[in-house]
Amino acid sequence: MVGSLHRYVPISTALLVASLMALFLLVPGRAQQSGKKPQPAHESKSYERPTDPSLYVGEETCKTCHEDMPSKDFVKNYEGSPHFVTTMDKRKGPEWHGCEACHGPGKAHVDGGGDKTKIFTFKGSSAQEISARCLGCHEYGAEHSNYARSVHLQNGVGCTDCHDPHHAKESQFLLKASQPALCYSCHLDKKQQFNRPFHHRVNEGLVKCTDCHNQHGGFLTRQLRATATEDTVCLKCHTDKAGPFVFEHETVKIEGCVSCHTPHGSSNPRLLKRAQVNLLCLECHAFSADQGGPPATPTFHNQAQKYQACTMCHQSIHGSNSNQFFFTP
Amino acid sequence: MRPTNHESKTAMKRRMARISWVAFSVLLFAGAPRARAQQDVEQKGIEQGNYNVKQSIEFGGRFTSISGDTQAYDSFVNLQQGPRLLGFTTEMNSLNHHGTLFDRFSFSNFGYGGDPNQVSRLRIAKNTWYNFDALFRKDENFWDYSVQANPLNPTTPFVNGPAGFGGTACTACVLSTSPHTMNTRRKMGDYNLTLQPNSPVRFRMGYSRNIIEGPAFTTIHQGTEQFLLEDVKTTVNTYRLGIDIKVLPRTNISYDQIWNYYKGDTGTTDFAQPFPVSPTQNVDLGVSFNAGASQPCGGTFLASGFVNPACSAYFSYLDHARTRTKTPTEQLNIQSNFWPDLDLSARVNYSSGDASVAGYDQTLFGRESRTNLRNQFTTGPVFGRRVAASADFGATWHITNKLSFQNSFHYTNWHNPMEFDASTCSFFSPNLLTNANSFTPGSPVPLTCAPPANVAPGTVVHNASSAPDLAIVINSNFLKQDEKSNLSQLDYRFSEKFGARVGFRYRHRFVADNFFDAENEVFYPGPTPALAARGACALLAPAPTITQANLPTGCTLNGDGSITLVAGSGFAPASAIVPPINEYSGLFGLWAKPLQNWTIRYDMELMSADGSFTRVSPTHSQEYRVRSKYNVASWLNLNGNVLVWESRNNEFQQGDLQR
Repeated sequence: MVGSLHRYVPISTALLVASLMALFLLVPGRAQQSGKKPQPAHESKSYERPTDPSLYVGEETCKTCHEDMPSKDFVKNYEGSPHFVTTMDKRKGPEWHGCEACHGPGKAHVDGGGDKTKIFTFKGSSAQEISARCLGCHEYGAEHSNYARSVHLQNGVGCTDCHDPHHAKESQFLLKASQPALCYSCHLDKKQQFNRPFHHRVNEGLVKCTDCHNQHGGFLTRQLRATATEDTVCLKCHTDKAGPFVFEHETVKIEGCVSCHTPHGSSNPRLLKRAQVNLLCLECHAFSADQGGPPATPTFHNQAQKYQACTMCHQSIHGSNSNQFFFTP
Repeated sequence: MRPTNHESKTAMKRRMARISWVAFSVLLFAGAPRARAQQDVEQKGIEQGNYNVKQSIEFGGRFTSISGDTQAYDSFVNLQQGPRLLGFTTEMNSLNHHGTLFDRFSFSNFGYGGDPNQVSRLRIAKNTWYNFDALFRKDENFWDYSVQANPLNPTTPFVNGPAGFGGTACTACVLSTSPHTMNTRRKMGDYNLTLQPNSPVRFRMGYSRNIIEGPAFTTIHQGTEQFLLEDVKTTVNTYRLGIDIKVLPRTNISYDQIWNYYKGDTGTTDFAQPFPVSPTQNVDLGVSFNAGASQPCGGTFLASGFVNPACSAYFSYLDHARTRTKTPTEQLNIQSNFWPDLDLSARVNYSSGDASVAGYDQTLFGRESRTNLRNQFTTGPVFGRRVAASADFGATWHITNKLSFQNSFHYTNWHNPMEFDASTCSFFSPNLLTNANSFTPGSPVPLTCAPPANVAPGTVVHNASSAPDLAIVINSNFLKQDEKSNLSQLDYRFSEKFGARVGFRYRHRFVADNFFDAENEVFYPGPTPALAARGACALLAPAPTITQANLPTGCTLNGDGSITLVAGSGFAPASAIVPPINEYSGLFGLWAKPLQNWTIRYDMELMSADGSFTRVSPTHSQEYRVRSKYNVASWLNLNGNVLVWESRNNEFQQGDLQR
């Protein structure tokens, strides 16, 4: 089976890439036909707000047309959201206030009789352009400072793919939908993992995807978060496994919990990778290595009976302060 | 051939079923927009004073009828019968954005009334002044999935066994509960306050509390598998202080100080002693009953009905410790877009914590038949440190409007030097009904052991497997990892509809796993003088009498017939130091939007490493992911994912580190 994968995966990958390349040779033409306005190219890097006050018209002018346009309660929803606070900072210039803080100066748009091409609209803009607008205010602290290198942005996922300032379904972070439904809308494979019999309680609402992953990017793979002490994020909740221990089960600290557990969900108890505990342990502690030294399973372990669950005796398997065989805590 | 009456009825049923399904599907899709529209009708709320107030409350009840394995149900689902608060929300928004104490207030809850997951969230904010966010979560963890822990307990009856253990089959040998049952609760609270959230200088403070508590069962492997009651109690308190400063245009500096305090107060005791070993004494025989394999011992029950006193069994057991870990952490974070073409971020983090265990106490009254152990006391301090430092740097260089170069560097180094100075006193006797005797030393001893009340001076009944009578063992372990990884990527946006990237990740790890232990042990003689020479001081060659010349290095024959062992092993052998591990990964990805509402994303990563820490860690892996998301309408998404992951490790052995 693995051999088959080896043969077919690179071939299918090449075919997929070639197909997509061929498909998208045609796409720019279709995009032009869709009537979407071209965005100023320089805005894709970072958005520098024009500071000339004469370019701005103010929020009240916007409201005259956009009270319910392009959708119902367009302005009202914004006024009830945390973004309204931008209007309250009088120390900053008009480029930081209200609608024009995000959509840019509106005078040309107004003078043009509502010409859409004279103002920035988020719909149809690229993820990079959208993110550049948002990050002008939001890129601070460890939470947001790596969005420019995040897997999301690299895959064309911008801020407004998850957030909707005008019609949010979640009030604090202005999300389009609550977690985990929002995350599942792309990460469908994770949905089936959390539907397995043993799973972290994400579907139940106890845990959120963002408890473990920083959706805005980070320095760890899978955009994982870490504890303040640079331990794996699992230990934020499973505090009793953190140690440090005199006798560490080294794999826990070196390779992480995922050496033995599947973090999202599993068909096996305790989210283990294998259905039977001994089969998991023996993958490392194999009889075949018995001649090599202490790590191997002693030959007096009777795999036919009570020792099948290694943790029956080695119950402090994550680490112990008192017993090198993990018999006691 | 005409169908029979039964066949035609079956076919009709099938047709009706098909029609029903089609009709149901049509109704489902036809009704969906309307249902969605109904959901979208926004609650207007009422205006009271300066606030618009919205409230909703959803009561319900669960009616459950459970048959079969209720323990498995509780382990998997644990939704019981009764009234529930399924949801409660209150939202208040100030009408003029100048509320007296707050402008936005949100309070939501669910799960109360007995569900295993209960969550409350409170958010209060006053524009430009503060944001307060509180989250409280409580989850119940019930685990009694007995199949995993003890799947193959045989039912061979015990001769002379009491009810449930004798007769035609040992029905009580098959445990009705998992020996590692638990019924614990985790309560997590996170509270964060931000002052002046929109100011160039803003302050943050936070507090988190995580408590895990409740009863559990566990076992200890000494003599047999003794069944223990565990009183689980761990607490973590975390305090946070932080400040964000905007020093230059598009440049932010954040500094955080975090204090983390862990308290572990879990203790275990022997759960029950149901088997009489004499008219006045009962013992615990553990959980492993297999008469055919002489477990817990041959002839477990005597004709009198009492437990065979030669068996391994416990009168009592106690294990308790107060574990404390204090870890202060400092973190500095800098982000800058000062140069429009360059996006920079860096983070430095340093933690240096102390860990200690005070009052460690392990007390055993019973018998380990293999060694003749009758009583054992182990105490001693545990102390050590957890030091972790990390430094990260990320940069994005926008070379052109479409082309950018991204680099992320991650460095972390942590080490855990920990030590346990164990003092163990052991007393021996030939059976459960005979109290241990104590030896009166005539030579200096490294440890003074107060014998139990019923221990009298006399001849100690050791056997060849008996542990030292006195032992001071220093276990000093040191685990360290130094890790550097760098990810470089070139990202090109062909159009607004199509982009691709190619990258390379390098990861280097160095792991050190060293230990040092030193033993100072005393072996008393008895019942024969030669039995002082046992364990690490066993005679080099069989001889009728003990002589110094016939003892291993480190063993000294004392004048009172005892033998003292002073030994130590240095740092780990070279095999315990893993050769540095280098991983090389090639990455490729592309995304495309053929239509406004259709996105396709593709990622792949091919990794090759020159080593691994464990046998299950891959040295080669390939991962391919394809995701498609088509938003047909506001109420309908058509999504698809394909994930292919394959990994290999052809290493036979990894330096004996599969411990």
